Order: sequence, then C-alpha cells, then structure tokens
Amino acid sequence: MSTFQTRLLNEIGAGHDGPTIPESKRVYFQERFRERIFDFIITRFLAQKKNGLSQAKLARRIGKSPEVINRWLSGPTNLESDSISDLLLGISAEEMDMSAHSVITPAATIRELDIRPRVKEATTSSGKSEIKAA
Amino acid sequence: MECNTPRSGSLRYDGTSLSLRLSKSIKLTHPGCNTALLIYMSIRAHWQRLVHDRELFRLSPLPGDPRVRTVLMTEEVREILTQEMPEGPDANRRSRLLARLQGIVAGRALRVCMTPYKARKAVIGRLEPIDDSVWDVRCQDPPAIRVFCRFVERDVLFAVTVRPRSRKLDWLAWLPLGDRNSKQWKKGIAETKRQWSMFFAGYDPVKGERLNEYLSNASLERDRGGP
Repeated sequence: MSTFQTRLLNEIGAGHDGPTIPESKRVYFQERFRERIFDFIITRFLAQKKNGLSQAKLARRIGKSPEVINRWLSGPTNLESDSISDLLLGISAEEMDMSAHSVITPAATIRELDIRPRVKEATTSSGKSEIKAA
Repeated sequence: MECNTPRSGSLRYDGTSLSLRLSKSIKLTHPGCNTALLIYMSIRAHWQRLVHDRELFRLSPLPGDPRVRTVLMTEEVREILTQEMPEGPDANRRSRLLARLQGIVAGRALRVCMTPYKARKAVIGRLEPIDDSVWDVRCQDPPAIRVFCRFVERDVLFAVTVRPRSRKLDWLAWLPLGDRNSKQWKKGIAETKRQWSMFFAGYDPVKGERLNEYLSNASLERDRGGP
C-alpha cells in the first residue's frame, strides 16, 4: 500500500475539525490542479489551431508577448486566474464553468491506490480501476 | 511463406524451416522440421507478466481518474514515490512528481519536445542520442528533477530512474545531472538502457519521428514560436 496515498485520503477525509492538511498533500493537489487547467486550455488551443489560431495571433489578441504565450502553452504552470481568463477569452471566446468533485472515496476503494501489481489491471486497459469519486 | 509486420517482426517459412524474427537481437529457427516450435510473447504480454511477477510496478491513478496510459516503475522509482518522508520541501517535491506521473496515467494533455535539450516547459523530452530512444519526464519546479524512461509501446512508459537536475537532493541517491554534456546525463541514459536490457531483453523500445507513435493526447512543444 502506498503510505503517502493512504494518509492522503485519511487526512483529507478527516472533516472540518480535523488537523491541518499537511503541505505536501496540498501541493499534490495543487500540481493536479495545474495539470487540469493546462489540459483544459491546451485542448481548446489545439482545436482552434485547426481554425487558424496561432500563438502569435493569440498574443496579439490578448495583449501579451509571444514569449509569454509560448511559456503558458508549453506545459503546466502556475497560471494566475486573470491569465486563465485571458487565455480562454482569446482562444475560444469562452469563460470557465466551475464544477468540483470529492476526492474522498469510500474506504473500500483505498486499495485502488495500491501501486502493487494486480493481474486484472495488467490485462485490461480500463474497467475495475475506474472508480467514480463520491 | 513470409509474413512481415513493421512492429512485430517477420515470420518466414521456406518449406523446410520456419523462422521468426522478433527484433534485431532475437531470431528463433527450427530447421528441418515442418512443425516448428514458436516461442513468442508480445511486448505487452511481457510487461504484464513483469507486473504480475512484481518485477516492475504499475502506477495507479488517484481514484476517480481514468486509467488511459501506463507508467511502469522500477523498484527505485516505486521506493521514491512511496517512502516515508517528513514534511518539508522534499516531501512537496515528491508530491509534485507523483502528481505529474499520475497525470500521465490519467491521460492528461501532454506537451512533448522531440528535439533533445530544447524543451522549455514540456512534460516529456527526448534525449540525445536520438537512436537510444531515451526520454525524460520533466518536473521543473525547483529543485527540478528528471525521470529517465523509455516507451515500451504507445502510451506505456517505463520509468527507470529519478535524478536531480541541478542540485543534490538528500532523498535521491544520484548526483545532479548538470549541463547537457555532463557525465551524469550519460550515466542516466546508460542506466536506462541497462535496466531495459534487464527487463526487456530482446525487445526494442518505441522509436520513430511521429509523436503519435509514442503517446495519445500529446502535442509538440516547438522550440521557437510555438505551434
């Protein structure tokens, strides 16, 4: 069992009166958040690229330098909310709809965090491990 | 009779012998017999067996995330991701590494640089020499770290060793990689090839110039001017 991930769920699932969530666990979700945001933006950028959008055009459209746009679109990074807004506006004239889901799952599924091998997972590309968050 | 497929090799029968060529390093022949004995295991069946036998370890996503790609880990990588660590910058750094690798598993969009040492923010970069087909997963938040890897097949990454990029880290046994011509880069690449030979002897890693051969949902990070 992955000690880190077992504790992760325990600490996050401790409720409002639980102890402070350790920084390393918060950092873990910060990194996930960055990657989700990047995924969200780059997917839209690549779709609009087929319609003629380029980084240079985007830079001009939202009043940033091409270097800044290149950096923002090169990989997950700690974008400010204002930058995310600018990017979505310039890429696809969109704004973000917010939604969230719980990361705490029933105790029985904690074993899914186990990184030890399981035969069925090795023989299927999807299925058992895809457990929906509560 | 002869059968050729670009990825699995060739099967040849000349009337008296049957030969199967899986890669440059393996050739099975059974001369003088029409009933040939074929010993063949696809690379997929092979890595699944390695996982089953606990020789390699498969990284799971956080529950709720899809499992789109596969990250296979050596014992070294598994130990780094699971070892007890006191709270602090090192634990934070390890958290980002874990999240990044799980993001790969979950199928998140990836920026990739196929030109060695030209990546800026790309998550995955190809290393020199290109013919070695060794890549690194790049975790750039300081102190930066790199995970040396090879592609077993499309969307299946074999993560071999974790190295600090610029400065020594207590929780990693290795010296910093330093600049691109350093011995440490060469050692990291050599170690990746050595471990490949241990676990995947007779099989070739994925090679080629098309990103689509390596990864789904990935795009190239251009060196200049962007896509």
